[in-house]
Amino acid sequence: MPKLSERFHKIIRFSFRNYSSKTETKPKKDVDPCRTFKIYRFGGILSKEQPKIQSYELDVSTCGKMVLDALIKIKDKDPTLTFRRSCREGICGSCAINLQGMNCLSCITEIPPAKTITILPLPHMYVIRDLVVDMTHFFNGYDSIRPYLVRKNDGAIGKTQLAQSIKDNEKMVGLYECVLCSCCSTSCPSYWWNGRRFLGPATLLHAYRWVIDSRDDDTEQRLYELRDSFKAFKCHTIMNCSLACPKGLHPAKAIMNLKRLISGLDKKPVPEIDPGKFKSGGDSGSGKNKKCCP
Amino acid sequence: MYCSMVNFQFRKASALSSSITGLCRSRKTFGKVSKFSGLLSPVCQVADGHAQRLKHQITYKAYVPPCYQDHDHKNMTLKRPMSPHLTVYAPTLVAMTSIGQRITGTLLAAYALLLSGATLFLPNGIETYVSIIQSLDLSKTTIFILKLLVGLPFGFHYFNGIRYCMFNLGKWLSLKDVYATAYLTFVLTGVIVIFFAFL
Repeated sequence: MPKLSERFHKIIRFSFRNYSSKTETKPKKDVDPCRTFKIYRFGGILSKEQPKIQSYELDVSTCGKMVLDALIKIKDKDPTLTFRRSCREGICGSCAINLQGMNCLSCITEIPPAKTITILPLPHMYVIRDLVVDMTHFFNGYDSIRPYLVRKNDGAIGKTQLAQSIKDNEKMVGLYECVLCSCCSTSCPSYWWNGRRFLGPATLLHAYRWVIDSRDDDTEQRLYELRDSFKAFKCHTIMNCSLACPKGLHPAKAIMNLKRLISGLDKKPVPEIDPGKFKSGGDSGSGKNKKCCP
Repeated sequence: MYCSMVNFQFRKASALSSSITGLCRSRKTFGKVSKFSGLLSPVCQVADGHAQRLKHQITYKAYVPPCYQDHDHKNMTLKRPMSPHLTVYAPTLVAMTSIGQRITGTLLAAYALLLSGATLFLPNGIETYVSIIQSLDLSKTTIFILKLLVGLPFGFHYFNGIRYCMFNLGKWLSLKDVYATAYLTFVLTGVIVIFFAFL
């Protein structure tokens, strides 16, 4: 009897394994904690050096689990190592690097179980120093899509609350969480070759976020501004962006929806609740002090 | 000789390009300072008669905004290096299918051009070239492999093309579906190409 139930359990476990995620099934290899970190170094334009890869030995059991912890530990030994970091929790987007060939945020990515760990700056960006790159054109692209709410007939924005149904709000889940780390844009080969005119996955994700916001009135103009060969349509659905996003967002899907809206194949749905619902007529009553508790 | 107090004097408000120089007067030479010229560059006459700008004169220049250069030119002028991209980025399956689509597409276009060019410009009919290939007397295996190689671009481009068309329709866009359809493409390509190579 035990043999039968054992076999039964094995079968169940086997079929469950087929459906579980890959990370659970891989046997955990014990890697020696003394790792080699190969980090891209460049001393800046005044140093007149060529960029090079420098190796550092580090015992990862002496520092925290994340790559940022390792970088800080290495910086203790070699203070000239330069990198961006701020929140250490994956919300600011400062610490984006290229780790083992894939872009990620160093503060929320665990040190991979490999003997040699290669850390490079974000691909195809001008390097200011070591891992710090010039992000100006990335942010200029983001600014160009007018990442703010535009209302047509409301006068001053902010006087009354804009109404939005829960379903309309859920459309923006997966879009508003973008931290502009540029991991996606710098992983896109199309952005490498056409970065000045193609807006890139991050900016297009934000453009889509503003287009489908039910409270925004300027959809037509927003879509019209994206109607050219480069701004949105240089996306060739390479999908590297969705693989690279450290927040788990899906820029490729958002861009496809955006492309369908721009080309007129889809139409933005009418908001379920009129956003101006709470606008009171006449005196808006902003001057009166309302008591919070009766 | 050095002044204990600094005295700024403004004369005419002339064009922006002129500079307003702080004048330093020493108590000694107070009376000996000559009258100012119209160009607002007062010069201290010191005892030995030489006109000289004193060390702690502050010169103000009009603000000239920096000449605008686009991102690339600005960085290239600064001689900043470009971070590595193609040579270092991991070859993900999605990126490889995408570039594979482009490469097989180019190959197919090349096939079409070659075929049409050959039809136009090469002498004799197609039979002569078929008999040339037959006279090479290649083994069955070699012919099979050659047919496989020639047919692979067709198969891959066709099935991957369907996959990309479905992406454009908004289907199969979740990462799980992207990978699943990529593997399906490979399987279907293999099956069809081997089938046609056998014929």
